[in-house]
Amino acid sequence: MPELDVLMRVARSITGNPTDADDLVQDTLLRAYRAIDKFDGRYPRAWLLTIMRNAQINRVRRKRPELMRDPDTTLAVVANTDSDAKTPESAVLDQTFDAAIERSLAAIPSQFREAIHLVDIDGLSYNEAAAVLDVPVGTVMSRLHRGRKLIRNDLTMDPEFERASS
Amino acid sequence: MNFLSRIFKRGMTCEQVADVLQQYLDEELEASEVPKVLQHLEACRDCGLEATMYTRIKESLQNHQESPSEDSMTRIRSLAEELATSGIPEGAE
Repeated sequence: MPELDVLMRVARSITGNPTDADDLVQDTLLRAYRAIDKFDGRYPRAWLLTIMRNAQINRVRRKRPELMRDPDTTLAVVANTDSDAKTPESAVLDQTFDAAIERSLAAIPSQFREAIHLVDIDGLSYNEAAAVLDVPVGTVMSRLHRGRKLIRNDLTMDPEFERASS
Repeated sequence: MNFLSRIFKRGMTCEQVADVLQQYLDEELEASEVPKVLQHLEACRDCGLEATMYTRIKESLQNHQESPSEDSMTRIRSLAEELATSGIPEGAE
């Protein structure tokens, strides 16, 4: 079942750690099993991702009710944990193209980062990312466009970019 | 190409390409539009460089993908197989 790989990657993205990701995928499969009669046979991956999103909302609500005040916070919780202070080691690593991208990705607003994570890193289609984020496809496209543009602009101002891209 | 065909068969403008470039790179653009974008990117240096830049960003982001551990995949595959063959395992929530 190749969809399991995708489910695992997306679960890792939206929970932020492997243990919770395992639990979320297990929860998703059990929910899908119980709801199989409601499945119309079309777009199985999008269906599973929608179930996963709802399962994650319930899990977050149980653990941290206050996070549910802002729907966008649900998936942003994880994304906001990666802006560490620079260390000498990370400064050295920054001198690569990939590190520059990573730094830019960490610096952009979480809504843009989530869309980029789901589409570029997890490999979801626009429709699938929209199902996970519970937003219209146009919103996914807009967030992707704006997020990538920020990364792009960041790179062109990065003194290491010319060297890394040559 | 004569004057009229240059007007009426003109390809996309830079602005039009910029509007659909992300969809093109994500392979989400309608198939009928793809050749027009491709034609413009080959002919327009600025848009071609822009596309190359975004392609490199996408490729770099793909390197961030973390594969789930083999243990995790084994557990989840076992659960999926069990659900498919004998239903919800005892003890599972």
